[in-house]
Amino acid sequence: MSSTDPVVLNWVRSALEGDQEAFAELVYTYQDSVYNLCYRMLSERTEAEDAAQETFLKAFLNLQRYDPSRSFKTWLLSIASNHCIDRLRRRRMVWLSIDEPTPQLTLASDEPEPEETIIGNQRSEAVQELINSLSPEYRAAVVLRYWYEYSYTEIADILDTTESAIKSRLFRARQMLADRLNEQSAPGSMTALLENA
Amino acid sequence: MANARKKRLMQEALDESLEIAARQELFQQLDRDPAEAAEYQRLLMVDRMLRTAPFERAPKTLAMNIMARLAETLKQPQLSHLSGLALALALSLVTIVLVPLLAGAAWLFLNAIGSAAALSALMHTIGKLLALVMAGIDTLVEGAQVLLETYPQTPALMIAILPVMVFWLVRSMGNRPSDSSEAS
Repeated sequence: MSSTDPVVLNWVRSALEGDQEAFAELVYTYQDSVYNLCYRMLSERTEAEDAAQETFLKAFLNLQRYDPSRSFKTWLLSIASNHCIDRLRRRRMVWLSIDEPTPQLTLASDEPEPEETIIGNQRSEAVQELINSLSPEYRAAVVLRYWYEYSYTEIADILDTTESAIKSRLFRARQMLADRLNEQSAPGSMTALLENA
Repeated sequence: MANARKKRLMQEALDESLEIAARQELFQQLDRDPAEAAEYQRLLMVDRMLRTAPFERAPKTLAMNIMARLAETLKQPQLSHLSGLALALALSLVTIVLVPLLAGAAWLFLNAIGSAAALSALMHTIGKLLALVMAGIDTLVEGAQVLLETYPQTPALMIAILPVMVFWLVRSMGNRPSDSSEAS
C-alpha cells in the first residue's frame, strides 16, 4: 500500500493539533476523490455532496486513529465507502420500491453546454444507471477497482473483508453488469452510447 | 475447464495479470466454446466501459461547506465538554460531603450495636440525618439548575476557580509541616 506524501502527513499532524487551515488543505486535496466515490455509490449529487461532507467531518473527529504508515487517501476513502454503504442500506429500508429510477438532481444552468460535456454527462449517467443495479458491497468493490485502481488486497482492507471475497464480488458484479447491459441493448440505447464513446 | 478455474482465468485476463501460457489456454478454450467466448466478450465490454468511465469532480462549494460544517460541529462539543466537567465537579463535591458523614455513621453504628435502645436511637438519628442530607442535596441541585439557567457561564467560572482552590489547599497543607518544624 502506498505511503502518504510528507506534505500531507504534515497537514495531518497540524490538523491533529487543531489547525483548521491544515485540514482545509487536506479537504482541497482529496475532495474530488471523496466526492466521486460518494457520487458513484449514491448516484445522487446532493446526497453525494452531503456524504462527502460527513466523510471529512468523521475524518477530522477521528484523525487520531489514522495510522501514518497507511495511505491517507485510502483511509479517507475507507471512511467514505463505509459511510455510503450504511446510507444505501438505510435508503433501501426507506424506499417503497427499489425498482423506481433514482431522480437525478442537477443544477440547471442557462449557459449552453458544449457538446463534449453533454456526451460526457450522458456517458457518466449511463454508467451510473448500470452501477445502480448492484448491491452496496458490490458497488463499492467496482468503484474502488475501476475509479481508484486499487488492488484486491487494498479493496479488501478498505471494505474490511478478505481478498477472495473481493475477487468473487468483482467477478459477480461484472457478470451482473454484463447481463444488465445485455437487457438494455436495444438500438440507440445506453449500450450504443457506451460503445460509441 | 472447471468453472472456478475458468472464472479465475477470465478475471485475471480482464485484470491483465494473466501469464502468456494461461492466456493461451483460456483463448483456446474460448475458441472451442462459443457460449463462453460470448460471455467473455460481454465481460470485456463491461470492463472497457468501466475503465473509461468519467471521474466526477466535486462541486466548487464543497470545501467551503465542509469547513463551515466543521466549525459548527466544533462549537457544540465544547459546550457539552463544559457541562460534563461541571457534572463531574458536582459529583466530586457531593462525594466529599458524603464520605465523612457515612464514616461517622458507620463508627456510631459499630459502637451502638451492643445496645438495642442506643441502636434504635442511632437508626432514628441516621434516618433524620439522611433526610437532612437529601433535602440539602435537593436544594443544592435546584439552586445549581437555577444558577446554570441564569448564568450559563457558571460551569466555566467554577472550572476556573477550581485550580486556584486546589493550589491554595496544596499550599496550606505544604505549610503545615514546616510550621511544626519551626515550633520544634
